[in-house]
Amino acid sequence: MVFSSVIFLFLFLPATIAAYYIIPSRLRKLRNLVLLGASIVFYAYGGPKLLPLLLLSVLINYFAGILAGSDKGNTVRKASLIISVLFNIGMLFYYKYTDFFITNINGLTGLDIALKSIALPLGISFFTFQNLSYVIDVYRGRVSAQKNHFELALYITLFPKLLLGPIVRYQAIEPQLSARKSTPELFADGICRLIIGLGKKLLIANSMGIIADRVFSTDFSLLSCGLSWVGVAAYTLQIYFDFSGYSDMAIGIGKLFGFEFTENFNYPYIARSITDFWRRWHISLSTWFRDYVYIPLGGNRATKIKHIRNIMIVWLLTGFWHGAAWNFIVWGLYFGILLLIEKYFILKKLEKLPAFFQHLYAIFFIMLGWVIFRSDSIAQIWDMLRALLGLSHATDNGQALFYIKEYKAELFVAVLASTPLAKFIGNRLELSTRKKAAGIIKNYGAIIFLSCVFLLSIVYLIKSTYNSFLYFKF
Amino acid sequence: MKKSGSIVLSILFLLAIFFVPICTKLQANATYSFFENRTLANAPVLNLQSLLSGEYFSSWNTYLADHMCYREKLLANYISINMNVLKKTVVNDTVVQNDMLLPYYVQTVLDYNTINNNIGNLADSLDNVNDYVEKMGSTFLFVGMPEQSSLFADKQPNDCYSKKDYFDYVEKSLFDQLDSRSIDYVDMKKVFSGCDDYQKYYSTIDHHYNYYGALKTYQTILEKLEAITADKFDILQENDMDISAVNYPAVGSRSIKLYNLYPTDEKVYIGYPKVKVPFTRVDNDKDEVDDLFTMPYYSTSYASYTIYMGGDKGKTVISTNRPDKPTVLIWGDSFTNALETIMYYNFDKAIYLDFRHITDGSTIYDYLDEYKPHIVICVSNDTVYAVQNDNVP
Repeated sequence: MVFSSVIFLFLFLPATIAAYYIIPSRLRKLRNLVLLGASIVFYAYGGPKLLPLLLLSVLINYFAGILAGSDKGNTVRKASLIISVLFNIGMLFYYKYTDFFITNINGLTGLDIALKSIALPLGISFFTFQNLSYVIDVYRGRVSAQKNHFELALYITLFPKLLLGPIVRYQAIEPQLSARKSTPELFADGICRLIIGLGKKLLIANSMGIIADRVFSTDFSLLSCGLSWVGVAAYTLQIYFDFSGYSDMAIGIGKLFGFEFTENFNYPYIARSITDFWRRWHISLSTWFRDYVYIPLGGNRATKIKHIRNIMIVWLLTGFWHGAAWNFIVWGLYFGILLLIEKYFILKKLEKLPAFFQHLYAIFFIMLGWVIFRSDSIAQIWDMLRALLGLSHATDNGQALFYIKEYKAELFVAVLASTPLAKFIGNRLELSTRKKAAGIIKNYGAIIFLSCVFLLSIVYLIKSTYNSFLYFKF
Repeated sequence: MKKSGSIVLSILFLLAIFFVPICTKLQANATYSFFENRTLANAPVLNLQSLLSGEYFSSWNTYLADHMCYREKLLANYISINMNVLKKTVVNDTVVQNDMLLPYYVQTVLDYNTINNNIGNLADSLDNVNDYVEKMGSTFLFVGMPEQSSLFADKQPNDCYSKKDYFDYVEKSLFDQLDSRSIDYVDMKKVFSGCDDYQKYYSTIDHHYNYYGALKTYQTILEKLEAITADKFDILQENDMDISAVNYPAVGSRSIKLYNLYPTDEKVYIGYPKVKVPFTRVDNDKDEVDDLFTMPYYSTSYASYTIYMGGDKGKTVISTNRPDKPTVLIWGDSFTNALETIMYYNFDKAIYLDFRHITDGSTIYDYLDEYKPHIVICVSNDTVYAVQNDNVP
C-alpha cells in the first residue's frame, strides 16, 4: 500500500486514526496494539504470504535482542549478535541478491543455473537494517533490550516507516513507544508534512518522471545533447521529490500518532560539495552505514590505505543496497571515489571558491551520479554520458525545448522547492515586527496553501489510480 | 502554527478524509464511465488465491479509485487545469491545437524489419483474397484510408513528432507491393490531400473522417470500380443527399480524452439520399434494425462517430431487393462504418464485416463462398497497415 493511493488516504488512514483515537490516551498499550494491527494489515496488503517472513524477522530479532542485552556472558551475547546479523543479512541476500549472483556466475562460468525469481518482500532493505541497528545497539549497551515483544514488533513494523524508511533507530523511538503525547500542534504538523509530501510526489515527482522516462527510453540515435540534459535534470528532480516526498509523508503520518522520526533530507541540492550532499541526502541510510560499517572498520582513524578501503567498502555496500544490479554498484563506487578525491585533494580548495561555483560543481556531479543510478545497464550509462557530451550526433528536433515549455510550471516550482525558501519565509514571518499580520499569514495562509495542495494532489491522484515510489524496489 | 490554526487544519483534513469514503458509499454505484469508455471496476471477490497474492487488496484500491465520489468532476478538473491554467500543449496524450486535436506521438526509431514483415503479410493476404475473388469472376478493391493524424501530420506543432516519416514509409511500401501484385486499390490520402478543402472531410476531434469524407470515399470507390469493371454506377453527389447536422454536441475519440472540455462547434453529420431506396438491415444474423444511424438516447447525450451504423458490428447485411444490381462485400475496421451508410445504395445486397467482432472463427473465404459478391472491398487505415490485426485474413 502506498501513501499516495485512494485506499490509503480515504480508507486505511481514517480507519486507523479513528481506531487509535477512540481509545483513551491513558490506555497507551491498547493504542500501540491498534497501531501494530494496522501495520500488519498495511504490510499484508501487498500479499499476506510474505507476512510470516516479517513476523519471523520480528521474533528472531526479539530473542536476539534479549540475549544480546543479557548478562549471560559475552559468548552468548556475541553469538546472538552474530545470529541476528547472519539472519538479517542472509534474508536480505536471499530475497534480493540471489538472482544477481546466479546471473553473474552464469555469465562468468558459462553455466546455466536457473534463476530463482524470488518475490522481493516489500521494505526488506529498510526493516533488516532497522533490525540490525536494534540488536547491535543492544549489544553495544546503547539501549536496553525490549522485553515486550509487541512493543518491539511495533517498532519494527510501524507502518509509516516500514516500506521506505526513514531507518529509525530504536534509541530514538524507545521513549516514544511508551510515553509519546499527541497534541493538536503535533497532529497539525503531521498533516502539514503529509500534504507537502503528497504534493511533492503527485504534483512534481510524477510530472518530472514523465520527462525522465521518455528521455531515458529514447534511442541513442535520437538523443540530442539538449534532450539528454533535460532528461537528467528531470530525473534529478523526480528522485528527490519522490523520495523526500515519501519521507515527508512518513514523518507526517508518524506525527499523527505522536511519533517524531528523524529527518531524512536537508535540501540536498543546495550542497556545496559531494561530502555536503551526503550529509543531506537519505540521512538515515548514510548515518547507518557510518555507525555500523564505517566506524567499526576504523573510519578515518586508521592508516590512509585502510581509510580508503573503509570508504570504498561503505560506498560499494551503499550502492549495492540500492539494487541488485551493476549500475548501482558503479554508482556507489562513483561517489566513493569522489568523496576520496574531495577529502584528500580538493575540498579545502573548493571551500575557497564562490558559493555559486561550489553549487555548480556539486550539482554537476550529483546529476552525473543520477545518470548511473537511473540507467538500466552499463551500456545505457555509456550512451547517456556520450549524449550529455554531445557525442550522439542526434539533431535537436525541438524535444528538449518542448519539455521545458510544457513543464515550465512544474520545473519552476521544483527548483524553488529544492531550496529552503519556504523555511526562509517562515523564519522571516517569525521575526517580523508585525506580529498580527505575520500570524495571520502563517496560520491561515498556510491552511489555504495546504488546502490547495491537498485538493490538487487529489485531482492528480485520481488521474492515475496507482502511483508507485521509485525506492519501492528496495 | 498556533493552536487555533492547528485545530482548524486538523478538522478540515479529518473532514476531507472521512467525507470521501462516506460520500462514496452513499452515492449510486456507477458501472460505466462514458469519458473513459470502459466498465468501472467491480468490488473484488474474495478467494484464497487472490487473498494470498495480494490481488484482493490491490483490487480494492482500483475499485475505490473507480467509484470515488466526484471522480468525474476531479478528472475534468485535471483536464481543465492542464488546458486552461497550465496551458499545456499535450493533455492526456492529446495535442491541443486551436483548430483541432491530434494524438501525441513519442518519437521512436522505426523498426523497418517488423514494418516490412507486416506489410508483406498484409500484401500476401490481399493477394490471396484477390486471386480467390478473381477466380469467382468478381472484382477486388483495396481502399487505403488515412487516419486523421496522418492526413493532418503537417498540423502537428513543430516540436511534436508528427509520425509523417512512418506514415509515408508504410503507405509507399504497401502501395508498391499492391502495384507489384496488380491488386487494384484506392489511396484516399492522395485523394483527400489533392482537395483544396481537404479539412472538410475529416473530424477535428476524432481520428475518423466525417460524413463528407465518407461520401467522398464512396464516390471515389465507385469511380474506380467503373474504371476497372464494365459496370456503371449512379453515383450520389452532395446535392443528391439531404445532409444535416445532428443536434447534439459532438464528441470524438480525441475530445473525449479531454472530457469534452475542448471548445468546438463541430457537428456530426448524417445524410439520406433524396431518392430513397428501401432496405432491410440485419446485424449479426439476428438483430433487425430499421435505420443506418443510431441517434443519442437522452437530451444530455453526445453525438459521436458511433452514430454511423451504431458503431462496430461483426456482420451487417443490408438488402434492397434489387436483384438486377450487384452484391458488394466490404470488410474492415471502424473506418468502414460511415461508408456503410452510403455504399448499400448502388447494390442489391451489401455485406459488411469486421473480423475484430466475429468470434466464430469464420474467415473472409467463408463469407465469399456464402454470398458470392460481385465486388469485394477491403478498407483499412494507415495506422494499421504495418500492424498485425484481425482484419488481415
